[in-house]
Amino acid sequence: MMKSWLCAFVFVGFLLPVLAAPPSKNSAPSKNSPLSNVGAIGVGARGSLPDPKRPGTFLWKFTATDFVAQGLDSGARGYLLHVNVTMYDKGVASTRLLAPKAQADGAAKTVIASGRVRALSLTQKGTVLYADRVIWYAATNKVLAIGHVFYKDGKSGMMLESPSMVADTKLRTIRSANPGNGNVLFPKGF
Amino acid sequence: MSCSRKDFDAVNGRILTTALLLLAGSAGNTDSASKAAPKQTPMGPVKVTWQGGFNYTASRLRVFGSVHAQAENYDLQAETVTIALASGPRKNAIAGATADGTASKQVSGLFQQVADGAKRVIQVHGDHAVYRPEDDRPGGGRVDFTGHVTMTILDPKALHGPAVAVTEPLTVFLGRNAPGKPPKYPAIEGGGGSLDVTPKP
Repeated sequence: MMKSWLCAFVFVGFLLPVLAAPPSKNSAPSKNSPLSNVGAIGVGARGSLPDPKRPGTFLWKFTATDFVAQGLDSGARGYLLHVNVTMYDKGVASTRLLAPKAQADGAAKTVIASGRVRALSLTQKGTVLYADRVIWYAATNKVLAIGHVFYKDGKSGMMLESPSMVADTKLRTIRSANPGNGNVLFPKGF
Repeated sequence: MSCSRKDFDAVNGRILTTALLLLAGSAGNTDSASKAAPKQTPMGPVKVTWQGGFNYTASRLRVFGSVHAQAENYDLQAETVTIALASGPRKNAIAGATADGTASKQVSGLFQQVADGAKRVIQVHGDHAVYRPEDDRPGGGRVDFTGHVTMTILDPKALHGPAVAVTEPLTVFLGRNAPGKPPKYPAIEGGGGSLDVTPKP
């Protein structure tokens, strides 16, 4: 019963409260355990969020090596570990997001990735973005990168560093998120 | 030696140009600076820093807030710099750039040349500066300064004190100097103006 519940939970989206069936004794650790309030820990996860504006396409698809679901008795929430997210822009797979940890909110259509996050463009070879933390707002086509941000444009070779930046889902247009220092390197000058 | 604008206007600033080139150790190279030259390697790397912010779209980067561009042979400071990026065969290079100052802080370019054991420093100030590559001089480029342009040359070996020129416009030609040969760059070309210089005997 637990196994079937976990499969359903993973495929539909682990934050949906409707799936918060009361956990069995075997999966609910004691209150003193460091894993208290952990409803389930699993290996292997995958999911997707359809694009409501474009039937048949997606906003995102993801796979993860591990997942942790919490608070099953009060509303499901949790996070994924070693995540691989394919980000779609207007129905087209645009960027791949790789992160040690990520949370997704299907209702808000956001993905929050942390650890040393890597975003790799699928539409422009060599374009990458690295940051300590990335928040992707899929509905508004905005990627917010925070902390030791590095960006490389595959087309021109430009390498740029900044404390934070905002990009579009395709990583083609970027700007500073807040006033602050930054630098860019042109290896060949002019 | 103090020369007035009237003395130079008759020959459209050529005397000024030649005087500046002599000081810069590039006599007679006015024309050659812009003629086709043997292929040169790109001048890099260039690092640009800023304190305000940036935006980048369609291969055009705009940075602002105490912008500082540094390379081996020059140092440029401005309030706003817009850079057009090259792609394809010229990837990792700058295709062109414009720099703007403010009412209180002009664009400042610092160029240096080492020859015969002496270092010449050339500093140029102007309201605006435009960089573009030279089509007939691969790997080289020119920086055109406009708007209240002044130039100061420091050459302890050849000059008593700084030489100061007020001219409009003023162009600095950049390129890579051939090792073991007298340096050709940076070369300078100016319009009409005035030059205040005291050469050493």
